[in-house]
Amino acid sequence: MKKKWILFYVFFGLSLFVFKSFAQKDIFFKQIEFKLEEISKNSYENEYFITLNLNKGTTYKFVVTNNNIKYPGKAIIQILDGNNLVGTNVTSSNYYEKFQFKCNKTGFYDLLIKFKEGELGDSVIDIYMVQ
Amino acid sequence: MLVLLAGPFIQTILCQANLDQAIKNFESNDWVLVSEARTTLEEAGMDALPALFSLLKEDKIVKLTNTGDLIYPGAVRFYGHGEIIDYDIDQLPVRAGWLIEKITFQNFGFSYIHDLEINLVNHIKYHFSSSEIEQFISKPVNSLSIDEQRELIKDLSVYNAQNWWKDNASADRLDCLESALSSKDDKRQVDALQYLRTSTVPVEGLTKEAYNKKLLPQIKKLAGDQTKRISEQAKYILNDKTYEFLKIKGL
Repeated sequence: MKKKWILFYVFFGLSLFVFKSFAQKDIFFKQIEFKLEEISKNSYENEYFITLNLNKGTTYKFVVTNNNIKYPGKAIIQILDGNNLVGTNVTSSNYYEKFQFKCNKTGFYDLLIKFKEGELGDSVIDIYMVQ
Repeated sequence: MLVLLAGPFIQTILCQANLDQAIKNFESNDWVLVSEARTTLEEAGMDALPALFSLLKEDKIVKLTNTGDLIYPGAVRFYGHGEIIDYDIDQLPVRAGWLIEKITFQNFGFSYIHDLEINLVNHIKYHFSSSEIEQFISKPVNSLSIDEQRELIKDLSVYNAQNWWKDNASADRLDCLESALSSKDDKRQVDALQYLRTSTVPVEGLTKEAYNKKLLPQIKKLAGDQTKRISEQAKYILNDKTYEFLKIKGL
């Protein structure tokens, strides 16, 4: 009888652990690769621009991987709602390779990715929906 | 009877008074007032231009206060969010130039003034003709100091804007929008597409029919543009089958 209870607890604990692991897993949303190998005089050609439909109440996680072996550039991400900047991975003094954006309004947002002025770069940005 | 006849006249006076107040607020150092005024002036469209062109001549700096999280060249702090204005609007002529460009969908060059030092000479050489440049300086552009280069871009932008105004004082905003979309200037195209997508300010004459007839053919072309900021926005508009982008303008 005692063995049954131990088995039950082990099974119950394991189930909880597995459930929790799945529950916290982020859902992959999109991957963006941006490689800038030469600087153009036209600044629009030195950036990556995409429009994404984001949903209210969802938190989006951005993970930046900068390939700094060949190029020095670190990807600067801007999430724009019209002319309004609503999220970025750069502040006055810090740079973040991971950041989250909680969407408060369903709609189309522009995602603008660029490198520091005059720098070349090669970056991959993975976007996840946080559960 | 007299009241009926005087009605439109009184309305004109009231509209003018409204515009005068908006211009006064637009010159203010309080961003809250400036921001409200720019909406009023943009809604007035081409009617606001005479007063804005007068402001181009007032070469003074009115440092903005109450800017909150506004992101612009004069901002003291960056909070990581806020409205982005790519013009040095502490300078009154630039502030006027910013709104003139917004209303006319032109690119006179005002947004280049504050750009990074390394880009200034390129802006001067590629955006302005040598005959225009020679009207303001007699020495090579490369020999100018950074401040002189910025000053030159400002003078040239004002000059360009005033010249445009001489020939286009009776232009309408819908034609300006169409002209921007069919121009070869990326900035004008981006601004026009951005306006169509996100602005809530109506343009007189911009109906569904006018859009389909005048703007749609050009937007279809822009959807295939190599520059993503242009093609992505054009595609977004083309995919909007229910014309939500017009509805948000009250059209």
